[in-house]
Amino acid sequence: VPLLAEDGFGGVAFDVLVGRTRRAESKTAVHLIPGGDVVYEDRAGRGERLLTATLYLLDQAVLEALEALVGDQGTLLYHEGTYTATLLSLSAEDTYLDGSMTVRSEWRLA
Amino acid sequence: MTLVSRAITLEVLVGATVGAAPTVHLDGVVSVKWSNGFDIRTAQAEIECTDLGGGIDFWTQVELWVGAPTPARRFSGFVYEFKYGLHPKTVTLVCRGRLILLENVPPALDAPAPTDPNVLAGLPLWGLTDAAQVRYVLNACGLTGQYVSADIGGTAAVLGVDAPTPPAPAPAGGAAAAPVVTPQKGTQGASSQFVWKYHQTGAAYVQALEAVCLGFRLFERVGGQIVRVQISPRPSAATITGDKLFVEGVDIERGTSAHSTAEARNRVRVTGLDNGTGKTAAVASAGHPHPIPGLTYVSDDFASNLIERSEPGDPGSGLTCRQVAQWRLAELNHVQLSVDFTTPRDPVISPGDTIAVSASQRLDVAQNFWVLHVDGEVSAAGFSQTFKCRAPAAQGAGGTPYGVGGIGF
Repeated sequence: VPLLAEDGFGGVAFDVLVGRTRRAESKTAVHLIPGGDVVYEDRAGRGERLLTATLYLLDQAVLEALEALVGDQGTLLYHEGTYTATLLSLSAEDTYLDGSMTVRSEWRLA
Repeated sequence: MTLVSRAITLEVLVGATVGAAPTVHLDGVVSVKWSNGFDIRTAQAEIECTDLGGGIDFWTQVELWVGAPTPARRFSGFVYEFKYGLHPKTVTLVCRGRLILLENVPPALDAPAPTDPNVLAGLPLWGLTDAAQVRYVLNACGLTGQYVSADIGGTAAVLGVDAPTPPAPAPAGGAAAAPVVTPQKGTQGASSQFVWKYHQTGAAYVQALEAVCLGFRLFERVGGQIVRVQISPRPSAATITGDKLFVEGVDIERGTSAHSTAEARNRVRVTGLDNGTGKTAAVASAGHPHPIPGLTYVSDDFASNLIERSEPGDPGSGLTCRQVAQWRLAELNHVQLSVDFTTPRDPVISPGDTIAVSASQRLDVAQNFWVLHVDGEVSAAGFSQTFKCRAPAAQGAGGTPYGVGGIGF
């Protein structure tokens, strides 16, 4: 897979591959009433927006550069847009013969 | 399925400075809790925030408005403590209602007490009704203007009126009379029992009164109103509908109940002040709701020098042992039902209110209760209120009639 390095975060370039999921959560709570068929739902506004994506990285050095940014907030650039985001976690998956690799990432979008 | 969907409204207002009215919106509130009850007297609240802006200090005024969806004031009081959490970083404002000021000794009593037993050792409150005494204490503790006078109720009895002093007998055998020491009023007799003593907090004085005042209790209602009302051990039997009716399967999320006679007493012996002819006293008794095999009576003994007479027909104006005995008998002689339950509903219900709980399938209760304690909360788990309720078992539900008739306060 050719590395286009079109995407990036904190100065580290990568490509976002398949497996991207984007999730917007709500702040709701539920009260289940025993002995009946009544449910109370408390709506308390919008929750967090989360993004998970598989990244394609050139080599181990890029992974380490990204690992240094875990927990930081910065500008996430990828083909769907530009976001202020916090890098929550990285999970390295496959490494190829040329040293490139895929990494599962989690982000919180502002 | 019935889905009741509602928006939660939460607003915390604080004073811009200590002493300022709470008008500034507090941002970053993560969760809030509030509590009211006879068991705590002073309302409490905890407000968990991500951070605090400047200006909030000890004794900053705080108001808590919460509803689902319509906000109502649930707490009014002061910042009392700060608690901090490391991660996630939180600051919790621990707050107390206005009655926290009763925990202090007013300046007039914060002085060395006299060592002469014939000199008054405090502030004289005799010759007043209990309600007037409580108002005096409230004012002395800095709560003038913070309550409505008519909200501070009490018995009609004027307390601490000394009996006339009998003339001293003439010395025998023509001996010279001993030097006359005239004790200051309030150092002996009934009046001496109603002296707010040096170093005594306002709460301690009020609490001593409450032990004998036929169920009149000083507390804060949800929202901050200071009241002193008579808490009946027997809630009204009137049919309750609407917001104050809670029904199993409809709006009770969690709950427990208990039926107990462990604290039932069917004979009450009350001893009061020695009025010069011996201790005043009275005994009241009735049939036990569930007699212990082999016992006719399970007794309660109570003594207080704030009770000045034995019977209502006795001379004087203070409370009588008979009144206190009948009140305590009515309070104690029954099968005690207790229900603690949590509801997602948001009506403003305060300690002392009467509510109805219909939960005969799982909790084995279906009757009116008076509310002893209220806890409210808004957190990630949503809005909820928990009520601790008590009542004598209704006839039929608890087994037998009360056996206490004609109780009148």
